Amino acid sequence: MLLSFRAQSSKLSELSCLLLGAWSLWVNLQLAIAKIQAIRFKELHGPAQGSSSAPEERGKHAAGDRPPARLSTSWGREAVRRFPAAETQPNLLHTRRRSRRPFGAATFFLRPRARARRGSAKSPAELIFTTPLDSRRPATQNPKMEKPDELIATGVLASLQNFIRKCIIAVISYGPMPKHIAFIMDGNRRYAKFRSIKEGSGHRLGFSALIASLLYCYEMGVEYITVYAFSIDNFKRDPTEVQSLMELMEEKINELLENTSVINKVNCKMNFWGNLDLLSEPVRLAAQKLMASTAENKGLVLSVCMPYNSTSEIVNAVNQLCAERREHAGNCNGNSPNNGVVHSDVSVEDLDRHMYSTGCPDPDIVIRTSGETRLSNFLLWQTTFSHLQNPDPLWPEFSFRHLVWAILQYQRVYPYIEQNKRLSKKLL
Amino acid sequence: MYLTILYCTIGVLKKTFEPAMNGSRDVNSGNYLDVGANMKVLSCCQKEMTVEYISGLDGKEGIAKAANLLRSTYFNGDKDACGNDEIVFTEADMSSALKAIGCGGPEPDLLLLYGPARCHLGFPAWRLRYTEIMHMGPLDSMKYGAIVKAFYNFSKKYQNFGK
Repeated sequence: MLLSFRAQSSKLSELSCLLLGAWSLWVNLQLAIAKIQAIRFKELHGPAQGSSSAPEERGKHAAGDRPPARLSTSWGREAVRRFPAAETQPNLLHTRRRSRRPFGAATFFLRPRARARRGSAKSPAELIFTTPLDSRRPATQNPKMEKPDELIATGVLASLQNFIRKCIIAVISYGPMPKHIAFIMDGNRRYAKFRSIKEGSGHRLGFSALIASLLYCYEMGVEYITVYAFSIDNFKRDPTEVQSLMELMEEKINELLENTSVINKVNCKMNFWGNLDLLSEPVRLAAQKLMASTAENKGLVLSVCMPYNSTSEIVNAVNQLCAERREHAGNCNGNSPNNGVVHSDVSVEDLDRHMYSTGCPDPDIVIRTSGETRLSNFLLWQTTFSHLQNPDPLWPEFSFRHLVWAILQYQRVYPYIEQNKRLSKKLL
Repeated sequence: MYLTILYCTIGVLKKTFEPAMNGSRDVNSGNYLDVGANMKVLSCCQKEMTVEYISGLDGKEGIAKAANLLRSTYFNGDKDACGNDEIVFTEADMSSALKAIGCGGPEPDLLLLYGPARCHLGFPAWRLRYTEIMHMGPLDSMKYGAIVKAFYNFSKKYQNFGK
């Protein structure tokens, strides 16, 4: 037993050495990037802007003043040690915040409510987009003129964030991973109401959360994502709200058509499930165009249910099946005078073939945010053995850690679900 | 009058209680779609509560049977009978067909789910649209206090029904 303990402890120490080695390699890489950016800044701007101030003022930063927030961190101290030139260019290390508003990456670590209170508009999706969709940056501003200190800090924190995320995904991948996750994106209006922002903004933030979740799921190896964007029952809402939702959908679909960075990154195939005839013509045409443009993609499949009801889907499947049988009967009657064709009874498999979700596996997890416990007519046919989860956060607050927790809960009940699947196949 | 539905995927409850129950023949169920379907709804009526036993066969299989009933009622396979008119079924037709075969019934407001995982395991889709699903844990943890708490949590819920 002592020997096995020693063997296990030696393996653990090897693993920890490997992790430390990887970590130090990552740190050195980021410091090298910071050095390159510092040199580039010097080339672009000559002597640092801050150095025009009197040397006494510069010395103040190095002398017995309270060290700036950045230098008090290990990152800051390490950067100063390795790039002594940075001491003469205090702006490079951003020793003092230019504004009270926190920069983009730090807000990512803040809790969503704290982020909202601080008024930060940066969302995870905006951090992830390489070519931002927002047009707030004025066209005359040269991106190279961005504060290099913020670039370094943002780049370092983002890299740290990516590294931690990859580590967590590597750990949870040891267990069974879901292939198909369905989301009921509930809570956009409540989010806007609680934060006293315009109601339409809640839906926009919900879209950002959707893109972020899409990218996280892609990193985790999830192959199918289904989202409940708009229900047929939602047409009962106030007409102005329905109109604004339709306009938002059209805008976002057109954005995805123009800026295909996200779709190309995950090689996403888009499906729109639902009765598209109920949509207005611009939205319907945009959706059909997006489906056609991504039909050949072989990567992650994103199915957007709008406008959708599960009962409507079942009735549609019955209608399509009856039309198929009628056509088949018509062809057979045309061939032979005797009406001797015996139609087999409609089976569950026949109906499966005519559902919107044909070709997709059943969802492994159905997540409804905002803590509600009902399915609201969503995928009732397909969720026989799906793990239903209802986390408390509202949809715009749904983040990577909630997704990880959802997958861990699924892994816990995976044996029970598989056992039930086998039992029902045997008996039913 | 309260309705309690006991659901088991493989139908153990249905098979166990079928001989002992006086299955009430719901005379109205056969009158849907003008079809004389004599279907027996397995239920037990007491003074204030009706207990209904259903199984996994009442879920997807029930919908397939309802689809068969609709198809056989309106399409006899005779070309002349259909003509050129295409009959498109609606949700109301489907509900009527389900009631005719005995798989219809009122939708429960609250579903108490006992088991290790929160899965509905094939509960009839037509009766699960707006039902609150509460996971109570393993069956041996069923206690009066837990059910009262579930009812209390249910009373705090508010449904928009899409609005």
